[in-house]
Amino acid sequence: MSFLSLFVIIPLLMLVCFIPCRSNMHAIRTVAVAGAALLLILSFVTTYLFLAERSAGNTAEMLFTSDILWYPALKIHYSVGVDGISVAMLLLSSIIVFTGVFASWNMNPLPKEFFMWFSLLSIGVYGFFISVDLFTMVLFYEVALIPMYLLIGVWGTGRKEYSAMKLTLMLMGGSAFMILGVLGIYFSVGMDNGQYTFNMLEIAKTGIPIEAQRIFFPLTFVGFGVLGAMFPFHTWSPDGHASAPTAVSMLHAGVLMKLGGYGCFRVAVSLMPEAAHEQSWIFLTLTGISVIYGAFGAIRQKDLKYINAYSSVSHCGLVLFAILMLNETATTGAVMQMLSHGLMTALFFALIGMIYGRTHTRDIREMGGLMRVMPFLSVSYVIAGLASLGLPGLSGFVSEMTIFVGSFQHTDMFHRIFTIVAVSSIVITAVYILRVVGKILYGGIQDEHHAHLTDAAWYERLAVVVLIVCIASIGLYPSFVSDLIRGSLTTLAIW
Amino acid sequence: MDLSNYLLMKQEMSLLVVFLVLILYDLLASEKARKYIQPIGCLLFLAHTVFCFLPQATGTSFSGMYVAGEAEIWIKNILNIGVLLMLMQSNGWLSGKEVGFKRGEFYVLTLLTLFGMYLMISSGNFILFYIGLETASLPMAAMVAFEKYQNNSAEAGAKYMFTAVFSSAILLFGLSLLYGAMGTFYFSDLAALMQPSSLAIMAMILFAVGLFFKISLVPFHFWTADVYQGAPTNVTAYLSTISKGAAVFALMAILYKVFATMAFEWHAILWWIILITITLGNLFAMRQTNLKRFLAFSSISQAGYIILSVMAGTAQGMAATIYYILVYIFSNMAAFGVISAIENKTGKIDMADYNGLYKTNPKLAIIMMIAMFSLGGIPPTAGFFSKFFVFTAAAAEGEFLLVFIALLNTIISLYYYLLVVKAMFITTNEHPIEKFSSDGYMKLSLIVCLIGLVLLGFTSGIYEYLTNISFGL
Amino acid sequence: MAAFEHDKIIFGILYFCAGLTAFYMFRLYYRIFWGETKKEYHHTPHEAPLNMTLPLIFLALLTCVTGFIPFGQFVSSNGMPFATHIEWSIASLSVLIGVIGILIATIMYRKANSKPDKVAAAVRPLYKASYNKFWFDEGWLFVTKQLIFERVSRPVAWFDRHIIDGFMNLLSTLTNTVSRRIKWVQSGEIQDYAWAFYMGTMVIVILMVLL
Repeated sequence: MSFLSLFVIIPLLMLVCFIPCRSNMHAIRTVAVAGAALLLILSFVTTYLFLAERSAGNTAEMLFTSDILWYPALKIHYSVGVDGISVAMLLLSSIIVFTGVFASWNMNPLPKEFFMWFSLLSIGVYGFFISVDLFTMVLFYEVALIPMYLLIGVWGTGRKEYSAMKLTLMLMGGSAFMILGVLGIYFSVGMDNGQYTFNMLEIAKTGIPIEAQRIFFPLTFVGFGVLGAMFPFHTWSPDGHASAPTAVSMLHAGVLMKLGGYGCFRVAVSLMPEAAHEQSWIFLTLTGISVIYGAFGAIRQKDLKYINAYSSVSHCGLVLFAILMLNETATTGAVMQMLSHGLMTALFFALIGMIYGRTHTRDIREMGGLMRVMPFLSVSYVIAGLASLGLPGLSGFVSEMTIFVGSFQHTDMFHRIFTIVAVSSIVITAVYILRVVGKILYGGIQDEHHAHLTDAAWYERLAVVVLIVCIASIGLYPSFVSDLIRGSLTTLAIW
Repeated sequence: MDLSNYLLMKQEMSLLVVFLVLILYDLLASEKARKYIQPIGCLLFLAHTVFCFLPQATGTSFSGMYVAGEAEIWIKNILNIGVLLMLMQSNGWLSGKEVGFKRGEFYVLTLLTLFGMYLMISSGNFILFYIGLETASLPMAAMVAFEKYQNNSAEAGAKYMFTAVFSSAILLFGLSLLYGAMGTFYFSDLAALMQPSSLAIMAMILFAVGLFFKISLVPFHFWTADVYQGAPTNVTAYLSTISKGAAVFALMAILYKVFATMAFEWHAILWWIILITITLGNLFAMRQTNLKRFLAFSSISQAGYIILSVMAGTAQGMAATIYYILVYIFSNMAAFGVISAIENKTGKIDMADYNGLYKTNPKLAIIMMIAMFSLGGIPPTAGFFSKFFVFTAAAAEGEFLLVFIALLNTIISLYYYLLVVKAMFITTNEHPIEKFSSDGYMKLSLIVCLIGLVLLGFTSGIYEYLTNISFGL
Repeated sequence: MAAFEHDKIIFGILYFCAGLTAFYMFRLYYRIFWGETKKEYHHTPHEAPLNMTLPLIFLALLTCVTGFIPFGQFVSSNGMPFATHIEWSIASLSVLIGVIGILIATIMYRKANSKPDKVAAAVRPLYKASYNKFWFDEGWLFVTKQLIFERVSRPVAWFDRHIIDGFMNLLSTLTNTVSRRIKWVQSGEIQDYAWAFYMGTMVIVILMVLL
C-alpha cells in the first residue's frame, strides 16, 4: 500500500476525530490544525521523495504507485500514483487547506460540522490528484461535489441557497458529461481486443480508435471544463464564490477549479491526443473567450468577491487555453498557472473574507482609505493584486510568461491571434485590480465606522504570510517548480 | 409419498414454518403473551433469513415448474434482509392504539405476500408465476388498507385493489394468448418454441404490462403516488422496495429465459419506457411536499434506472440490477425509517415540517441525508456505485444516448433530493420537530441501513459474487 | 551633430527644439524670479538654508564643467574609445539659437507687459492645444472610460448576468414549468388510471405488432 493513500486516510481520520469534539472550540481547532499540518508535511515529504527518485534515475511515468484490484468484473482498480504535475497539485492543495483552516478560525455557527464537511471536501480533492484509475478519479470528483452544497448553503452569505443549488446542479451537469466520456473511453479501449481497462496509463499506451475519440473528447473536455470555468459554462462561479464562506472560496477557487484543468489534461488531452489536435480550435475559441470575457466582466463588478470570481474565470480559462496549445512549454505554463493562480486566489479570498469580517460590506463604493486603518491586510491585498496582474518577481508573471511563449510557438495565424488576444487580458486585469486597490485602500475613509477597525489577528497573519511566501518564492525561484512539472511532460507521447 | 421435490424449496418451507408458528401464536396466545409477538416475530424471521443464507442445492423440481438457481436464491436472500428491516421499523407503528390489537395479522399478511413473491421469483411455469403474483398482490391490498378507518388508508387500499386486478386481468389475457400460440406454460419448453410472431409479441406485451404495473413504470404508474401516500409508512416501504424488487427480478428472468428470441422487440419497448419513466418520475417528484408522495415519485424514477440494466440483456446487466435492488432497499428503508419514526412521534409528514431537523434530531437528519445522497447517486454512498454499474452495463451494449439522458436526469433528481437536505440543514424553523428517541428496533434497523449504505460500495465481494451467479440472454 | 550628418530635417526639428528649450527655461526664470511681487504668499519666501544651497551650488558648478569631459574616451557603442572634437560650425549655430531664445524670453517676460498675451492671441488654436497638453489625457480617458468600460465591459457583464446566467435559469424555469403543467395528469381518479393503462398497452401493441 503506497504512502500516497495517506493523503486520503488523514482527512478521513480528521473527519472521525471531529465527532467526539462536540462544541469544544479548542478541540475542534486542534484537530483541524493537526490534520492540515500533517497533510502539509506529507506533501512536502512526497515532493522531496519524488525529486529524490527522479534524480536517482527512476523515469517511470508514475511513482509510488499502488494498485488494488477492486471490482475484477469491471476491471476497476484502486490505483494511485503521482508524477510531477500531481505532486505540484498536492502541494497546492495542502497549502490551501492549511491556510484555509486558519482563515476559518472563528467560524460560526456549527464549527465542528463546517470542518467535517471541509475534511470530506479535501478527501475528494486529494483522492482526485493521486488517482491513476479513471473510476477512482470520478469517484473522488463526485465526493468533492456535494460538500460544496452544504458548505455554501449553511455557512454562506447573500443568495446562498440559490448559489449553492446552481453550483451543485451545474457541476453535476459537468459530471454527467464526464461520466459518459469515461464510460466511452472504457468501452472504446477494449473494442478491438477485449482488453477493457480503467487505468489511465494503460489506456494511454493502447490508445483509443479515432472515431471514438472524436465523440468522447468533446464530452470529456466539456465535462471537466465546466469545473474549469470554460465559457459558457462558467456562470456557477461568480455566484458560487460570492456566496461561499472564506475558506470554502479559497479551497474552491484555489483547488477545485484546478481539478477541471487537471482532468482536462490527464483524461481528455493525454488519452485522446489525436482528437485533441483536431478539435482544439473549437475549445481554444471558447477558452480564449473565457480569458477576456472574465477580465471584462470583472471591470464592471462592485462586489469584491464577484471581481475575484470573474478574475478566476479569466485565469482558469487561461489554464485550459494553454493546455489546448498542446506543446510542452504551454502545458508547463498551464500547470504553473494552476499552482500560481491557486495560491493567489486563495490569498485574495482570505483577505476579502478578513476585510468583510471587519467592515461588513463587500461593496467597493462603501470602502476607502483602509490602508491607514488596516495596514497589514492592505499591503497584503496590494501584493495579491500585483501577483494577479503578473508583476515579475511574483508567481503570476512566471506562469503567464511561460504560457504565452509556449502559445506563440505555433506559427499559424489562428493560434497567434488568440495568443495576442489572451495577452491583452493582462492589461484588463491591471485595470480592474488597480482600480479596486486604489478605491478601497487609498483615498479618504468612506465610512467613519471603518476608522476604528482592527488589523489582522495572529491566525490571519499566519495564513496570509504563508501564501505570500509561497507566491513570492515561486516568482523568484520558479525553476524548482517548473523542473518538477516539465520532467513529467517530456516523456508523454502526445505532442 | 415422494417429498424430494419439496426438498429443493428450502426457503419457501422455512418461511411457511415461520408463518404457521406466528399465525398459531396470534390465534392461541393469551392477551399478555400477545405483546411479545414483535420480538418473537423478528427473531423467527431473523432465524429464517440466516437459514436462507446457508448454502443449499440448486436445480429444478416438479418437472421444471419450480426453479432454484443461484440468482433466484440470492435475490430471495436480499428481499429477506429488506423484510427484516421493515419488520423492525414497524414496531413503533404497530404498538400504537389504532392497530395494536391486530399486529399479529400484519406479520401474517407480510409473510404471505413474501411467500407469493418467492413463488413468483422461482417459477418455471406461468401458472406458478401467476399464483405467486396473486398471492403477493391480494394480501398487499389488505396491508395497504390496514388502518381501514383512516380515509387515506382505505382509499389507497381500494385503489390498489382495483388497479391490481385490472393489470392482473390484462396479464392473464396475455398468458392465455401465449398458451394459444405455443400450447405450453413451461418456461423451458416455451424458450424452444418462441418465435416473434404477432400473437407471441402481443402476448409478451400484455404479460410485460402486467409486471410493469407492479414495477411502477410509466404509463402504468398512476396508482403509485396515491397508494404510497395513503398506506401506512412501513407498508409503503415494503411496497416500494420488496414488491418492486421481486417484480423486477421476475420480469428479468422471464424476459431472458422465455422471450429471448424477441429480444429486439422488448429491448425497443423498454428503451422508450425507461426514457419516459425516468423523466416523468423526476418531473413529478420536484413538485411534492408530502414526503411519502415524494418518495413514491422518486421510486418511479429509480425503477427506470433498474430497468435500464435489465434492458442490457447481459449477465453484467443482471448483476447490476440485483446490486441496485440491494442498495435501493437500504436507501429506501433508511428514508422510510426516518419518516416512520417522525410520523409515529409527531404525525408530521410534510417537507416543511422537516425544516431545521438537524438542530433537534441530528442523527435522524444525517441518516436521511445519507439515504437521499444514495438515491441521488453521490459517493461515497453505495448509490453511486450501483448507478455507475447500471450505466456501465447499459453502455456495454452501446446505449450511450439513453445513458446520457439518464445522467442528465440525475441532475434533476439531485435537485429534489437536495430539497430535503436543504430543509433539514439549511432552512431555519421557528418550531422544529422536538428531540425524541425511537425504540431499539428502529435504531437497530437504521444503523444497519446506514452501515449498508456507507460500506456496500467499498466491499466489492458482493458485486463479484453476483456477477458469477448471473445469467444473460 | 549626428543628426546634421544624417538627416537635415531631423536636425532642423532638433535645432528648433533647442531654441524652444532656451525660451521656456528663461520664461520660467523671469516669471519666478523677476517681475513684481504680485501674490500674497502663505509662507513668506526666504533664502534657503545652507544644507539646500550647498548641493545646488555643487550641482551648478558640475553643470558648467561636465560639458568639457571627453565622453568618447569612456562611452562608445563598440567599447573602443574614440576621440571627439568640437565642430565649431554646429556648436556656434546651437549657441546662437540658444541666445536668440533667451533674448525673446527676456523681451517678453523680463518686465510684466502684454506681449505674451498678444502672441497667444495671435496663435490662439496652437496656444489652446498646448495649454491642454494636446488633449492626450482626454484621449486616453476616452478610450478607457467610454470604450472599454462602457462599450465593452458593461455589455459583457450584462450579457453574463442576463444571457448566460439567464439561459441556465431558463433551463431550470423550464423544468419547473413543465413539471407544474403536467401535474394534472395525476388526477386521483382510478378511471383515469385504468384508461391510461389501457391506452399505454394499446399503443405498445400497435407499435410493436402492426409496425
